Amino acid sequence: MNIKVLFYFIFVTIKKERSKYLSLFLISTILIFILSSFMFVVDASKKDINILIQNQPSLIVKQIKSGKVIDIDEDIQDQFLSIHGVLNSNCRVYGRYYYEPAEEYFNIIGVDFFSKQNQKYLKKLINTIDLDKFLAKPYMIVGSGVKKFLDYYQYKGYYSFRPSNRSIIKLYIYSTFQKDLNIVSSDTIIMDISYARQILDIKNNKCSDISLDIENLTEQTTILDKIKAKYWDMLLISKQDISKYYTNFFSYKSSLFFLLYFLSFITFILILYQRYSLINSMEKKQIAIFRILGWSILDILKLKIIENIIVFFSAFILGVNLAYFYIFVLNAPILQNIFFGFLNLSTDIHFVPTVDMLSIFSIFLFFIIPLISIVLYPIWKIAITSPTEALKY
Amino acid sequence: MMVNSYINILLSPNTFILLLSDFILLFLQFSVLYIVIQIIFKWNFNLHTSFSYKLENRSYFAMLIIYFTTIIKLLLYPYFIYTLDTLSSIIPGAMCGAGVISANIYGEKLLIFKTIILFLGGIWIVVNNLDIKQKHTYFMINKSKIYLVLFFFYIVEFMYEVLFFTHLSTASIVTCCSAIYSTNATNALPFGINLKILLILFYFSAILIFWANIKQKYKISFFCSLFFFYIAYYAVIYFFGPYIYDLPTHHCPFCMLQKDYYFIGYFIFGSLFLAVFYAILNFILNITIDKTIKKYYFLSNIFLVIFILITSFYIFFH
Amino acid sequence: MITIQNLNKLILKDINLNIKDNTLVVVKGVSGSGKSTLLSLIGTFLKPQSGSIKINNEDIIKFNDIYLARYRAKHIGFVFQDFNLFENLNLYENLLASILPLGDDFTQADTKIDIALKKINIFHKKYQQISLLSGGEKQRVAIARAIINNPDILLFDEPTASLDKKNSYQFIDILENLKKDGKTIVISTHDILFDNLSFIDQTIGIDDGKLIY
Repeated sequence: MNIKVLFYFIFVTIKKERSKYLSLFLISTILIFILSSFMFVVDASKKDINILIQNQPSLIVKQIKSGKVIDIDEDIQDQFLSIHGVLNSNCRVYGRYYYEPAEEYFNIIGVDFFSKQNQKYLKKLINTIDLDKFLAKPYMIVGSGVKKFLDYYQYKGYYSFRPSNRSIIKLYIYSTFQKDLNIVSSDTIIMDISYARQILDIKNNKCSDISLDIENLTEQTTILDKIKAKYWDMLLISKQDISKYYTNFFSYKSSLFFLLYFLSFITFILILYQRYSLINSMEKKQIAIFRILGWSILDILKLKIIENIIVFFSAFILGVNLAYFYIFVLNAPILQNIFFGFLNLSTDIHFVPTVDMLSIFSIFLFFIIPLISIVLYPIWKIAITSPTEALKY
Repeated sequence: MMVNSYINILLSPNTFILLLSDFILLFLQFSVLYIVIQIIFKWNFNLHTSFSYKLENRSYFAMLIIYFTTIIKLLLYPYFIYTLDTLSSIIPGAMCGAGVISANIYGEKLLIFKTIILFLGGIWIVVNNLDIKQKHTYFMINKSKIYLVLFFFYIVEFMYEVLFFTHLSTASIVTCCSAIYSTNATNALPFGINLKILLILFYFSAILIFWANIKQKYKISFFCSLFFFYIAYYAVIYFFGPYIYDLPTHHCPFCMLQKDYYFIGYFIFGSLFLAVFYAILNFILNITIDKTIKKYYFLSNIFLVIFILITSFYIFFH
Repeated sequence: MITIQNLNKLILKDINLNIKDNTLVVVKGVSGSGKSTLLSLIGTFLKPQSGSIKINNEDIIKFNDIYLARYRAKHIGFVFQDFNLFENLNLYENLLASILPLGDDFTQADTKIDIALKKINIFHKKYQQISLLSGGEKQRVAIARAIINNPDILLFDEPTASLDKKNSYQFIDILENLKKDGKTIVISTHDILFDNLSFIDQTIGIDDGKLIY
């Protein structure tokens, strides 16, 4: 058979029998839309996280005591700096501040604005602020989630922290973070390190952890081994460890969703099988006529399978495009909450368009293999219709 | 926590899709097994009984299922490689698919079985295509027998696949490719040979296959190409690999499949597979259906030349 | 040449028959006598329980389904009693369905379709929906579909059963022209219109599955 003529004929028959395929097309589109939306959110989030992680220091060192993380001595930085290959170190002061009435947490990051930063986003942030103005008054920079929260609770441009020593520290809002790092930063507050120490009750010679910059990343393992050998009471976290943590997190959420989605998908498959198994006499006669005209069983199989592939493939294209529009243009209302409900505060997440062709191919495989598999038997049943069916009046 | 680390692997979307697809394909194959066995023992096209006509109709179902499952299996092979690559981002220690495949004792065997299935599946498709062009169904029983062999491999492969993925964990650290394919083992090369001899064998067997294809000597082509497949695997990893990666210590068959190296690995292994496949095809056709096709000698040579050119390009021009 | 030997299928018993090339054969018999079964066997879409059917010395029973289907598309045209056209397609698309098995491209297909429609004098309704055609026009389309691949053999099953007298006579004219084109034609009918036609070469009678004359 000539492929062009065959496809023309198939498109004509689909067009003429569109009511037959409409329900199939719509349900397929919806299922693909749901799955693709989910995949787009996962991919966009992963990309966002990856950008964030790239901006992280090469190594983070935490002090462990009795299995718990405690504050680490600031002075130990000198010993780390003496290790060949360690370029730079930073004392990081950060923690969570619990606001009991609303049962919400703020993430607080204290920054020594006069020391060298090894996190790119902090470097970028410092470049955007007028340091003289910022340090002249007790200022803080807040994430968009924090801003929304403070506005909601009528804090007009400031907030009074109540640390554990029962004092009050009032800080004013200098500005709000940029939107592109919203997934992790929307509930964060950045302030001068001295205020952070007071609010989080971290002594002056202590840090939450120490971040190290390594010049040559291929030496990371060696440096890690050196630190581990001497400081076995320290917990060492590399960039790759953080990356794997988040990948696993998204993998877990994906897996859960997948399982639930799969159950509804099975239902659809069974309905499809039912529908295809009901061959009416009209259809039998049509196939019988084809057989008499010189179509072999193989030709009929080709016709029917290609018809179905075209319908499913069209549904796939439409579903993926709708998902793209829903996630990257409409910003995924409802789905956002399913994914990022773990965050403390409301977020104003904006997904950066990310299209991973291999993810889309995965969706295609997941969808098309079970669908075509289920219709093969009914299609064969139709194809072996005896030509003499056409002679029955 | 431990259980979670296994579940993370099994329910990661790519693994889930792969296992689900292979399960569906195996189920389909089981559904036609009885028909295939009936064909082998009871097929007689000259009989005009209703059983004979029914069997003919059922044979179309069987061949349809086998054709569909074989084509999908071919597509799933590169998808399997891609899955290994994505898993390397959540399995500690793994930098590419090599670390994942070596994470347990089932990985390498799984890869070997999948490769064998590629070859056998391709042979079945060729025999089937030849069969449907005939006036009479000459090759129905032969291709059914080929399918039985293929089916056996399908079962073993699926078992290994399940074992492989259920024994992967995000909590256990695996070895990365630089350790697995370290050249400290020149005893990594087969028969204790060195790189010089490996290269001589590589180019010599390639020339021999080329000559055998031109002279249409399918037996020489068959045995030589199997040997060449074995030698080429080592040559790509231990000789050509460092040129591809521009790093003398980098010997990994998986890293070259990644975006960083423009997916060149797919072209290298793809052309190698096709060269060997078409070289062995005429021998297999001759013993199963007593036929040889000139076109396949030509195709084998084309892909052989492509393979040699790509691998050698990195030595001379990169 | 169609040679049937010791054919048995359903109601048909021990049928032996020779039909020469370029002949018009009428098969007569009451309903249920086996006329349609005989036509189906000659048309290759039914296989016998025993016996042989040879067309131009080729034993068609031994062909596999794919080869048989191509053979049928190339060498045999069939016109049904109720035409059996695809009502939801137009004329052009109905004829295309006959051309597809032989692998012609659009240019070849268009040429064939135009020739067939002009021969049957219905070219002006090329893109007309089938459901809007009259009975006589539908029959002409069915004939066009049957002759489009220039087959050697044409089979008609009760061709005038659904037609009025005028269209029946028109059909007879078309039949005569087809015979002049060198076709081998087999018609199963119990219409008395075919009793005294001069261009009929052979009349066969079937009763209860057996040839009676």
